[in-house]
Amino acid sequence: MSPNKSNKNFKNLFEIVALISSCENIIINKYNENEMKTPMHMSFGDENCIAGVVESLRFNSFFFGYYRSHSLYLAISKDPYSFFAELLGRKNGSNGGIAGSMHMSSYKNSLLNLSAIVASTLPLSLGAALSCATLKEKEFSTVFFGDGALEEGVFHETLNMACLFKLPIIFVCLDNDLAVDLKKDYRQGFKSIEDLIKSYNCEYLHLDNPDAIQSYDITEKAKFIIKEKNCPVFLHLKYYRYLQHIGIQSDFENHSDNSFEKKNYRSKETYNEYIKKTPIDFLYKRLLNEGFKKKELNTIKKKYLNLTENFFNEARKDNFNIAEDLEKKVFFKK
Amino acid sequence: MKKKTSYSESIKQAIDEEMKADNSIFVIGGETKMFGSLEGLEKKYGKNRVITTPISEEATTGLILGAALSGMRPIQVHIRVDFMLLAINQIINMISSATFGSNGQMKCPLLIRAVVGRGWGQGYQHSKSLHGLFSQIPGLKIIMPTTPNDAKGMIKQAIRNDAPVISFEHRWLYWQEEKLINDYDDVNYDIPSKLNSGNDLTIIATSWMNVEASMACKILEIKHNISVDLFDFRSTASLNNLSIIFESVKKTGRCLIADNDWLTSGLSGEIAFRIQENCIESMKSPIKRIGFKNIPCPTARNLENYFYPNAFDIVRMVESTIGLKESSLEDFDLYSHEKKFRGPF
Repeated sequence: MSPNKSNKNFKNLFEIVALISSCENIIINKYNENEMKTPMHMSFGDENCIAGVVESLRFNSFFFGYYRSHSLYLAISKDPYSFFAELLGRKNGSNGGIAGSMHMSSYKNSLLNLSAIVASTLPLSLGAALSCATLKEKEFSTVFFGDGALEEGVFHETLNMACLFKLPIIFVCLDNDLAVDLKKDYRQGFKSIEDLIKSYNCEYLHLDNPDAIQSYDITEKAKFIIKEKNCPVFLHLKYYRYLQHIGIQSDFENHSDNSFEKKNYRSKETYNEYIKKTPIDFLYKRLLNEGFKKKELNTIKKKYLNLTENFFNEARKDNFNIAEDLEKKVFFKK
Repeated sequence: MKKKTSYSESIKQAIDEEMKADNSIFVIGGETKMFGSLEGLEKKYGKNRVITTPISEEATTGLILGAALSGMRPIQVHIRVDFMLLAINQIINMISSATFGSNGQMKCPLLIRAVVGRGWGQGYQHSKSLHGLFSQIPGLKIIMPTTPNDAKGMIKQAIRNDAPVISFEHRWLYWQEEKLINDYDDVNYDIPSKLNSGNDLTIIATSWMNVEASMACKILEIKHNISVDLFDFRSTASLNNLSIIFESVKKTGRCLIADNDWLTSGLSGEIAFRIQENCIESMKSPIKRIGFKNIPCPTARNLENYFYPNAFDIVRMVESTIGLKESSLEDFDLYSHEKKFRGPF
């Protein structure tokens, strides 16, 4: 079931992770120039999880995300120009500069909605799953969310209805153990996520390491289960969030005065361990073990570093949307 | 002679005709009877197109948004407006901005129908209207059909619309009957509808208050020889098409707004502002408003009667505004729901 080197799927995964890593690094480098005026929840850490899931579902699923979805947008669209243009508030941004970092969408790629409100896109996956059955344009409905979403009422309403109606939904829980700066022990009154999900008529699959290849494999398995068992699947993917809840700093740097997060709420030692093995480094080593050559992988990394820098600079030259046209966009016009 | 059709049956016909023509349309809600307005549709179209859900209002409203964005045309039903409030996050944070957030690229064709309760002790959690609250939100279209013909035409056009529409349907209107015109495609429901013509006063009413205002028009004609222009403000899109009302107020010089909602910071205030902005030089007296008392709705009948305005209240307000002596209203009976309804809901 793993992606096969001969059909270049391993390479595709590495290209996606390289694209995401390069884009996130550019944001970190350019953030303090204060030209990207939009609150950003950085993806740094979840690249491998996202790349695997998206690559498996690219052509046969509707997608919904949440406020931390830079990886998701880039993996689905593979379009750094529209990504940067949106962060810069420009006309040719994914959403014309109207949406910013937290609400990007890509209608042509079936990324239908992101939301800045925790758990709010979860129930949208129900409707897209019904659409799959009627219109048959897609087979699956996939929704991404953080572990904090499990404490929202609408998560339980959605999971209940998905199980009751036996809908082809893949719930992708990106678990970094934190809701802003609060760990699970301080916010979850149930035994475990696994126990909770298994109490519903839903299949539970988990991955403790953010490995793009395993993430791809587990998503393939989820698709198989949905068809065989006629029930939704919950993918529990753990990863380490390198940066603070919002913004480009780690938890351990000196925060500016306007930061609302606490400091030192997790271990510096753990952070130091993780920063030595970033997601792209992890996949790089993994692919060396699979027989890829350093030269080939380095070429891909370099390609995306140059390419994304160029796209950022091009996006910067784009015009802003015309404010006077905004009223025409409130309702859809044919 | 052509038979009359009820408001409830009109809505059912509208949904039936549209569902027959387009298989992307489905109905969903925790209660899918809706006082007869969905009668027989589950049997005709099956449980996959008339879907009864658990009592999960927010998830169901999120569901219809996800369905709309992925090519379907969902209709969600709430047996009371008050229950819809559990989904206010989906409606105001998600649905209203879905098209705008996509830079105008994505359609959001969905209809939410919600019943406004009244009478027989509905109390403060089964009786809200709140069209004023929702009309404040850009990206939502609000309709309040009063007549069976409008109910049929407005629901048909709402289903075909590519925008999110919320239909506020007063419980007592479900029994109203009239002959159907059955030709709705070319009717423009985004303008107020004229229900009565006159020269001395302009009344603008919403939903059930059109029934009370119609009765008040008759009383004023009989008792004071006063004739009234009465307009049914049937959709908030009418706010962009008020010229017919401006012309009337410039002619009569007097205006009363009867809103089936609370008045404070409400739709009646918005309409009044726009009228004064355009007609102030023709006004003989300040614009008057009548609506719910500024309290939550009580249960006991005498308290409930205090809460709701009626035709007599409108007559007294007009008499006071024009400076007329109060007439005897002994010859008239107010519409009484109690004569028709014995519960339970």
